[in-house]
Amino acid sequence: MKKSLALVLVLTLIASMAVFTTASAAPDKESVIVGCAAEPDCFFPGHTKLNTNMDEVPILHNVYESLIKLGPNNEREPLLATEWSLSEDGKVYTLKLREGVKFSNGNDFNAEDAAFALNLYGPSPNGAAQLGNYDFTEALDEYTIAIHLTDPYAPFLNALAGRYALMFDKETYEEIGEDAYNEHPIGTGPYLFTERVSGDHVQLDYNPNYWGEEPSIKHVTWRVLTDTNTQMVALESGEIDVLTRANIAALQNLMTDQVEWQAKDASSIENLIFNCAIAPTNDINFRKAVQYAINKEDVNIGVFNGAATVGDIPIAPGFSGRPDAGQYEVIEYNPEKAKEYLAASNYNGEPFVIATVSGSNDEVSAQIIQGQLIEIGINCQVNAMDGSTYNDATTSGTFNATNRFGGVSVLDADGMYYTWNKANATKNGLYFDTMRFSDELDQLMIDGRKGTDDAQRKEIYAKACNIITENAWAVTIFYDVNAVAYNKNLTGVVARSLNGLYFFNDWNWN
Amino acid sequence: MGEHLLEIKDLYVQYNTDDATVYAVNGMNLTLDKGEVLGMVGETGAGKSTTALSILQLLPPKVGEITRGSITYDGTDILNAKAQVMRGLRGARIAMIFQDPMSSLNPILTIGQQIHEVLELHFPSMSREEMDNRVDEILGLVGIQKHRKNEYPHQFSGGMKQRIGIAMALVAEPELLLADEPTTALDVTIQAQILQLMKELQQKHNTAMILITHNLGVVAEFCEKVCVVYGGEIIEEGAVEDVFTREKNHPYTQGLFESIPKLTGPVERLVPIQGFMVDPTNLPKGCSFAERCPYATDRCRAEKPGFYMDGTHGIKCFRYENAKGEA
Amino acid sequence: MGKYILKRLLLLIPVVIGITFFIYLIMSVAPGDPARLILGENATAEEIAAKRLELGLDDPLIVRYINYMAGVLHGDLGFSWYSGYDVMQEFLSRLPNTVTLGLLSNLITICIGIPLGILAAQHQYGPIDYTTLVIAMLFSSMPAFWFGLMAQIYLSINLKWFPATGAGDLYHFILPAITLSTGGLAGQVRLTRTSILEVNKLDYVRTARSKGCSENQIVMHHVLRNALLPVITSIGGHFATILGGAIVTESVFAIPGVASLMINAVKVRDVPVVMGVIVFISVFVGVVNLLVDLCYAAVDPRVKLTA
Repeated sequence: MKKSLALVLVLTLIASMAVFTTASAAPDKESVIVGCAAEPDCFFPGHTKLNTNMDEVPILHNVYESLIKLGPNNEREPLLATEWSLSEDGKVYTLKLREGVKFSNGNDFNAEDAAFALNLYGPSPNGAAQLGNYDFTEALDEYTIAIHLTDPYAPFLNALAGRYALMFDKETYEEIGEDAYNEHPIGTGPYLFTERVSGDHVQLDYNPNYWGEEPSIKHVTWRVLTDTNTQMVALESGEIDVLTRANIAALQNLMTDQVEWQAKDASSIENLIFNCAIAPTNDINFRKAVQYAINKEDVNIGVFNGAATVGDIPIAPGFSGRPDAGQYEVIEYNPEKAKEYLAASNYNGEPFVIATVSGSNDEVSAQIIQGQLIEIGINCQVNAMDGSTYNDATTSGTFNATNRFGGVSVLDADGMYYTWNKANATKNGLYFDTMRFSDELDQLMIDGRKGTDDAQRKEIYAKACNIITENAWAVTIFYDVNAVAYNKNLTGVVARSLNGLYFFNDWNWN
Repeated sequence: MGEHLLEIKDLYVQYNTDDATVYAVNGMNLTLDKGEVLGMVGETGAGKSTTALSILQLLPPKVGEITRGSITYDGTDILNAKAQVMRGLRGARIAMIFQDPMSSLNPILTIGQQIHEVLELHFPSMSREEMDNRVDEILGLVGIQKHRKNEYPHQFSGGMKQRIGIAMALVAEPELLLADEPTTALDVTIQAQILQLMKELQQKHNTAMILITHNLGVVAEFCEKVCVVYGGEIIEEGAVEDVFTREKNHPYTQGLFESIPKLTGPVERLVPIQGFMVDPTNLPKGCSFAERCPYATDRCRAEKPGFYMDGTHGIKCFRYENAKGEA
Repeated sequence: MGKYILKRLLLLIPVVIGITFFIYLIMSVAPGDPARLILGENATAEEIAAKRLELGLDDPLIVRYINYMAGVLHGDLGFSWYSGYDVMQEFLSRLPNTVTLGLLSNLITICIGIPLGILAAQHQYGPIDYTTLVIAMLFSSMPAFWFGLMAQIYLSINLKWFPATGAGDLYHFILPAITLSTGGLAGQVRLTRTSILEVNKLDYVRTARSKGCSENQIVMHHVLRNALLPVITSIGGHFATILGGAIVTESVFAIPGVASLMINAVKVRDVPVVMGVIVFISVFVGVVNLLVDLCYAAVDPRVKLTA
């Protein structure tokens, strides 16, 4: 009797599902479903306690707007700022703001909001990393602001296109506070933040009061798919229309003609950085041996099937301030020379441990490097840990080297500052001193930030890179590549150097 | 002679285990008439239970195998009967009471439900109320208060569980009752009660009964006929008076009587039957008792004796060969 | 029985305290500074110190634990250190998905495992018996991520019978539930089979036969209910794992469930979320165990619930 009861239950279940089936809706010309790899949870860049990360940034750039918009080839276009100019001494940026723009709650956007926002972002730790040398902002009149810097900062305009230049409503913020603002973000952008369902999706819908052109895409659903295979399956089955931060190796194996994809040099660089305070990496000959023993082409092939670009200096191609070829020294792969250096060193077979984050491309590349080093006789080990443990480990100085990518949102050589300026890198002595610094390098980093003349900056950075290369303090392995995959019927999707800059109002269905 | 109710002819049953084949029943011949009470005596392992189980075709499947012979119940050929026929017989016309009351009842059904089941199986046309009444009636007959019928077996003592077993067996008023050592697991005082009860019910419905026991005293009290089983064969059979007057007995039966401790006279040592029960996996060529028999001759060891009748008393021993004839 | 239930629930309290304290301890000594993770790489020393102060990370463990549990007793599970959302809300929004998945997968395991076990037992040592065991083992041996992926490719992409990802209507849960159910299938089949074979040998089954029951009746009325007693316990055990155990399935099918919530929280040392989930899980397991015991008592009259 119980058996037949169970049978009836199961049959009813199946029958009811047939009734409730929502077969995948016919592609709706006004909606797009985007897949991302991790859950977006912070929607207010000005939050003092929470951090935004790569998965939220596209949402931010569509709900809020920055002062300047960065195009696909890093050209600067007006957005909330219509004009801008720089003072003679390079320390004051004057921007004219767009008039007639309203926040989605009806409040006006004006200089007061802009100044308030920048004064909130500027001093904050994450904001300061992009808005370099920031001092303060004042509103000159209702639609003009003047941003004062302590010293010139060459990539500043790029920063004004980033997440710490996203404009929010001062009035509402002061009224409800950052937590409430985070739950119901209010911006000037073409899309409204409709809802967030934990772990599942974020829903954005068209803002009918948007000041700009009405976008073709009215509804964007931002879905969380953590597993790479699942992402590919969802693309193939059409359950997502776009996949950001797509894994290139997986895309290359995708066999469907419904999906296209694009790749572009990203803004992040993978560096193998040595801890020169402990053996055997305190020996320059050892480090030089490693420099020459790494076959970066092979790493590129192993990690990206060759889709990325082999690195030489810790400044990505396309960054402003990057020295030209010929200005800086490049170490070519030379295993023979590597063995010579190794012989000249004091190396006696001690373990050379590389720390990296498990499950990342860095881990794969570290393992390839490990193989290459073992070939020339170095006892190389790879210690892959989870993100939290890794953070602890790198600042404690227990490993010989770290292999990790680092992104530079301002697309400028100044990204080196955070790694190579001693005071900043060791957090004023808080972290372990890995002894890969010098006063000269420190000064070059500071000068490079302040420099205004392009040629002058290139020289500064060429010098800096050469110091690093000569001292063998680090090896740049590759420049990362960003890939985005999308339904072939969707136009306007472009791969970006910066992952955040997908503008949904540029897309439309055929 | 008229039709017997139950007739077993030349029955051979074996158990096929992984280690060896156990020849449990070797040429069993038995008849029983309506209303007759037959006592089946023998040591453990003699083949008594096996015989009873064979009548109901309840031998463990695959392991238990009936290799020869026939069993006929009221004209029905048991060994070739269809499953449906057997189901019709079991519980309704032939019922069985098992040896261990502790494990013979389903622990998660109430005793009422278990007795009810017999009626539901065989009298589907009976109304619910009639069935309830019948159950109450039988419980009353076996001496269990009817308000206890919604209790579970574990709430009853051993003796009461056996009464429930009897109730289950008799509720459908079967013609033949197979009682497999129904009191062996109970203590002596309860034994007497149960046996008394069974006797009363048997007399009331004129039920034929095979009472399997290893207790000669019980046989003497309750049975009309008795058969002694050894090594899977009946080695002596007759009316209780025939066997118990001790004039003529199979040497084994003699040994059984002599091993009963005497309550009168000087107490000497007990007199057991020397040797051990015959090994059922390795039966001897001749008489199965020859090894232990004080009167055994070479002929006994070489040849199997026949069943020699003297009126209603039959003995399977060469010593009685010159009696009035063979069976 | 009410007394018994009350007593069991009260006994749950020290169990929950023990588990939560242990987890709290582990989270505290694990490498990785939550403050740094929250503030990001660019945080200065002062900011990190301030954050640690704010979160109370430098207070003694016992103090922090007691503060936390005091909050729990008031129904306040705190806010996620990483995302700022209310832990209770986050958990509750994920709970229905996990429960649906768990219930459905357990249902499948039961509805397929038990009948197969019965079948195998009834045809012991025959070809049906071996076939069912092989099939069950085959399914159990397939790792969830592979099986899930295959199901997605063949049943979703190629045949378009089911959606491949996400948690929407009941249809979305079929493939994940099937994937999740395969793990326990072999165990269920074997357990049922063994249980039935053992009960079959018992005396009361023979008694039932002697009363004239058909084989079907014997299985349904006498064998099954008795044989299913150990199966109930195993089902209960399975069920208790649904809250945290489906991490791979949830990941492969992109179902936002409790398991992924917890794993992600562990990765970033988000103590309030981890603890919140753990509190729920320990209570849930305790309650499920209680229910199993009650079920057992309901089915087997020999079992007495001593209060």
